[in-house]
Amino acid sequence: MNQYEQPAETPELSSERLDTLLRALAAEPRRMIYTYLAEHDSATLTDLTDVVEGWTRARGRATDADNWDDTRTALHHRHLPVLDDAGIVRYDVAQQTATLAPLPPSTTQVLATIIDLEIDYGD
Amino acid sequence: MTVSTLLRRFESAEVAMTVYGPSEATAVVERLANQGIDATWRKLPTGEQDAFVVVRRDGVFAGTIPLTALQAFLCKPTVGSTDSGPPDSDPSRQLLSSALANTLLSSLTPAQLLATSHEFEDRAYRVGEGTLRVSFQSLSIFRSQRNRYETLARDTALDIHVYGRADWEPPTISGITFHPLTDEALEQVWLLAFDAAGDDQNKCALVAEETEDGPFRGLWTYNPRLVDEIMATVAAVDE
Repeated sequence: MNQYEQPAETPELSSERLDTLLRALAAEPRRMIYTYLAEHDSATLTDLTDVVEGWTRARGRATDADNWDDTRTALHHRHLPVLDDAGIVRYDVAQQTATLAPLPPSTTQVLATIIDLEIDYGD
Repeated sequence: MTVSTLLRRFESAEVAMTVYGPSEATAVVERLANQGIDATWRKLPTGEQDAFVVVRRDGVFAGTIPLTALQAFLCKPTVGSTDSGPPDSDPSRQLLSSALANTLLSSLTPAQLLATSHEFEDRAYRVGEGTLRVSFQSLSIFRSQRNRYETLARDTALDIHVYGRADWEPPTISGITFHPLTDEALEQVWLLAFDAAGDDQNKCALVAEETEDGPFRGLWTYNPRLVDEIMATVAAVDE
């Protein structure tokens, strides 16, 4: 891309917004949730718990103390609300379903870059 | 009760597996479906080494394992091919073995059945006492297993009973009783049951029935009550 092809339709993010996004993806379970939703758009809390539990173990990060119920609690009370507050995910607490929020291209680009970094180099 | 009615009871057992990973993971889903297991693939950019499987029994989370462990397990469902080998200690294999126990698998090969039989024979060897009942369809099939069973009978106090169609005159081996079958109840059946001399922790059984189109359908179990039932079913055959 040369200097005349800067994506005019992708406005830059404010530093405040960038901080929010980076904070939202600062925890591995939240990056896992985002990656899954980027692929499938929406999911139940149960499915997301399966994904985080399974993926964490597959990456060799789990300890014996980790268990499914604790992971579910952490998603429900911490990780999904953080993603919701950052405007990345809409978490319906009553239905216990999470849906990817409509995101501007600039945001999607930042999130995709973070996710790609982890998948390519994280292990 | 016959072995067929026993197997029919497990047709509705609910084991579901969800495979998360790249599109390469779909092959294993097909293999699971061939075994009559409810299996789903969900795309996830994990890379092949990090692909994983979530196992649910009756809707309840039972555990998660690397996809590579499931692939290895499908090739060889049980380990323990040597008489002195240690018991299966890998947690992924333990999870699969217990998740798939009591689950009717619809396409088992003789190699898979033999591997499972050997695991259970090894267990009987380690326990060293109790009753072991084995049916090889035909007594002549026993010939290929003769060395294993002579060792089992010689080194242990096991009471071993071998069943099969009477197409071969078995030798006299101390500790082994042969039961030539006169009715057809067990002729389609590959079966092994061990009561571990009453120790519920070590009871195990394998029951498989040859299907018309070739492979066996069957299950293995560590459920002591079910093992007792299988033992009784076999023992009743020549009463």
